[in-house]
Amino acid sequence: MTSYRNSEHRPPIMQGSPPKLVPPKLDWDRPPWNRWAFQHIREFLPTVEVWRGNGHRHRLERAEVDLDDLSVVDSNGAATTLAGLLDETYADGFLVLKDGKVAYERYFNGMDERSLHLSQSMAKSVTGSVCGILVGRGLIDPARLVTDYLPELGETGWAGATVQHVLDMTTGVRFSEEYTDRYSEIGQVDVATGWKPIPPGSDPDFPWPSHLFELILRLKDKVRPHGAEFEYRSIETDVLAFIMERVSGKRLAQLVSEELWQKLGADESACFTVDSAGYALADGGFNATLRDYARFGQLILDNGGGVIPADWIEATRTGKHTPDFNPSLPDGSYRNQFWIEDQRSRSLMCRGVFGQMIHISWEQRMVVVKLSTYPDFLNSAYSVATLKAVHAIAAALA
Amino acid sequence: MTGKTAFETQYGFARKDVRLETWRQAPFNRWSFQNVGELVPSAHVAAAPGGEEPAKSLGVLLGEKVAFAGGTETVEGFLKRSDTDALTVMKAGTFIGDWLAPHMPFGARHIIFSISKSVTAILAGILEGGGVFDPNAPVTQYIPEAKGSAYGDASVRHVLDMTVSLDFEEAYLDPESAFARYRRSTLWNPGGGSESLTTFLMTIQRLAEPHGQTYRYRSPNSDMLGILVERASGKRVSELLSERLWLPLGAASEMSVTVDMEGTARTAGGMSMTPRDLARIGEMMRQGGIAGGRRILPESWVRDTIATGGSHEAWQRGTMVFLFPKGRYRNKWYQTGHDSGAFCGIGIHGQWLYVNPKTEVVIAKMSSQPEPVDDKLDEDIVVFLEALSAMV
Repeated sequence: MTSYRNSEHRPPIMQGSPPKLVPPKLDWDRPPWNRWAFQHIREFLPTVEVWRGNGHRHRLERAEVDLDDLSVVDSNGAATTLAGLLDETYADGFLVLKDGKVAYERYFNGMDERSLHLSQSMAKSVTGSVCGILVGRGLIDPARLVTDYLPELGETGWAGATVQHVLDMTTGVRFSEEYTDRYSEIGQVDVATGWKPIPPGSDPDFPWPSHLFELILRLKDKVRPHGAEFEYRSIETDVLAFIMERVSGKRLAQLVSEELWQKLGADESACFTVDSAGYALADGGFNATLRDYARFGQLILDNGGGVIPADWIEATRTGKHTPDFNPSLPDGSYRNQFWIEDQRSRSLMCRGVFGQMIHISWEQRMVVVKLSTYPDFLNSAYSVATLKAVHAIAAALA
Repeated sequence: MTGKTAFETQYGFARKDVRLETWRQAPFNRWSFQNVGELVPSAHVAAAPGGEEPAKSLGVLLGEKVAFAGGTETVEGFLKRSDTDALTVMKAGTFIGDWLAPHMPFGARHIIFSISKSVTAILAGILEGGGVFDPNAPVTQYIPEAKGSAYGDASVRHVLDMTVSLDFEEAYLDPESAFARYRRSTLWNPGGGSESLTTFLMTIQRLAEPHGQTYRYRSPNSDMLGILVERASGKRVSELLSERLWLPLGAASEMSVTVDMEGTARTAGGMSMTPRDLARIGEMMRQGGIAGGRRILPESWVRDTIATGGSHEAWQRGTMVFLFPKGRYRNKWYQTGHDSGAFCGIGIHGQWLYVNPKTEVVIAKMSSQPEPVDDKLDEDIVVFLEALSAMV
C-alpha cells in the first residue's frame, strides 16, 4: 500500500472492531502504517510514562493569525500556500508560537490536542537538555571520559572519548545508520529496543542483542579518532542517557519528568518506548503532544527559563560550522544534541526522521513545531521546503 | 556515582527483573501494578480539563480500631497487612482522605483488574440507555462469528451476569492451561501476538448445563462484553470510555487499558486509573448515574445493577457465597446483600471499589497482594470496608 495525504481518502487503519487494517509488526513505521502508528505508539509497544505531575497545565496564550493562505514554495520550488505545503509534506500537527503565544495551530490525520506523537530523533534534544541540567548541577562534566561514568565501556569504541564528544556525535565509534539493512547497527537497534521483531528469514545464528545496553557493549570498532569529525549516530544519545542514569541513579523517564515535564506545565504526560530491560529509547522513542513540544521549544527560546542553564543553551548555539554540513542544512552544525541552522541566526532545531521538527528562532522570538509522517525516513526536498516556510512565516509575523 | 539505583533502593529489585514472566508476582507487582504500560501495550484515555486536588490525610482515622474474626487491628495496621498501595475515601461526595504506601505517589495510576468489568458494564448501560444495545439480544446479533462457540446460543444478559455455561477454568497459576493461551492472546504473558483475543474467545466451548442457571465467574465473558459494546456502537472501547464516561465524569487523570495485537481492549481486567478517579466512578453509581450534575447512566439501569437485579438462585449455586451469603451479581457489579445496601467492584490481588449508600461512603482500595485470590483476606477486607464506612 502507498501512503495517503491529508487531502486524500484516509484508509481505515485500526478503525472498527475488529479492525480490517492492522499495521504489520515489521512495517509500522513505513507508509501508510506510520500515519496511524506515530500517534498510537503506546497501543503496540511497551512505554514508560514521563509523568506530567499533578500540577496545573500552563495555559498558552493565543494571538492567532490565519496563515493557511500564506505564500510559500512546495518541494519542487513551485508556488503554493502553507496549507498546501502541510498537505504535501504529510503533516499531522503544526504549531507556531510567536512571542510565546499561539499564532497558528493545525491538526490533521486524526491528531488532536491530546494526541501523543512520536518525535523520532527529537528525543535526542530532550535528552540532551536534561543532560545540560545535570551538567549545571555538577553531576556530569562534559570534559571527562565516558568511561569515568561507565567503566564497562572500557572495552568498547567509546574508550578514550569524552562526554562532549558523545554530546556532539564526534566520537569515532563505528555505527551504521543504514535504515534498510536489517543487520546494520541501526537495524539491530530496532530489535534490541523492541520496536520490531527479528525479521523473518534472518540468519538464525545472528546474535541479536536482547536490549540496548547489550548492543552498546558490543560496539568495539572505531573508524577515526574521537573528536575528528561529526557523524550522526543515534547510539551516542543512548550512551549519554546511560551516563545520566548512572550519575543520578534515576531512570531517564523519571529524569525527564522531574526536570522538564513537571516544570513545563505540560498538558499531558509524555512517554518513551522501553526495551525488555526497561531502558527508554533516548535516541528516538519519545512521544508528546504538539503543544508540549512547543512548550519545550519555548523553554529553550527563553534561554532555559531558569530550568536549563542559560550558559548551556548559549554553548549549544555555538557550533563548529563546516561547508556542506548536511543535505537539508548546508550551513548547519550539531551541538549538545541539537542542530544549529546556520552561524548567523544560530537558530536551534530538533529534527527527527519522517518529518519531525522544532525550530527555535531567537531573532524572531518564534518556535515552530511540525509533526509529520513522510512516506520516507528522509526527504530533503520536504525538509528544505518546510524550513523555507518557517522563514516565510517569520516574515509574515514580523 | 551511586551503587544502587533509586529504583532498586525504593523497590528492592531492579527494573530489568520485571518482565512479562514475573510482573504479576510479588514483590514485582508493587511496582508493575502502577506501570502496566511498561509491559503491555495500552490505549490511553485523557483526563477532563482541570487537575487533581491535593491529597488529604486520613488523620486520626488511621489509629481507629477494627474488630476482625482473628482480633483487633488499627486501620493503618490492616492497610499494611493487606498490601494496600492506595486507599481513597469519599463521604457524601467529598474526598475526605487518601492513604498511600511509600512506593505509590499520589496521582499515579494503578491496575484495577476485574473492576474493569464493572466499568465496561457501565459502557453497556450507557449504550442501552441510548437504545443501541439490547441486553436481551443473543450475542450473535452483535458478533455473528460467535456461532459455534459457547456464546453461540447465549444472550448478552448471560454475559453481563456471568451465567454463561462456559467450559473454562480460571487457573491463574497453571502455565499450560487454556487460561494461559488466553493470557498470551491478551499480551499479558510472554509469547503473545500470534492469536488475537477475539479469535481466542470464539474457540471456547460450553458446558452441558443451560446458560443462565449458575453464577460462573469467567473473565472471557467480560472481554466479550467489550467486543459487544464495540460492535453495537461502532467505536473502540477507548473512544467510548473517553466520550461517554471519562470526560463526562470529570476524571482528573488519564486512564489506560491494555490492548491486544488488534487493539482490542482487555475489558476483563486491563484498566488502570488513579484511586480518586475510581472513587469518582463509585460516587457516580451512588448518585444513581449522575456526576457533576450530568446524567451519565439511566437511573433505572443503576438501580437494577446495584439493588434490584440479578439472580439470588444463580449466586447461591456459585462459589462466592462465602463472601456475600445474601449477595447477587448483576451487570459485573456485586451486591453485598448487607442491610446497608453496599455494592462493589472487585479485582484480583486486592482491588476494591466499595460503595455504601447508607453511610454515603465510597472507598477505593488498590493493593498488590502476593496471591491473585485470597478468600480469607477478602473476608477481612469486607469487614474492614464496612467498619471504615461507619467511622467516617
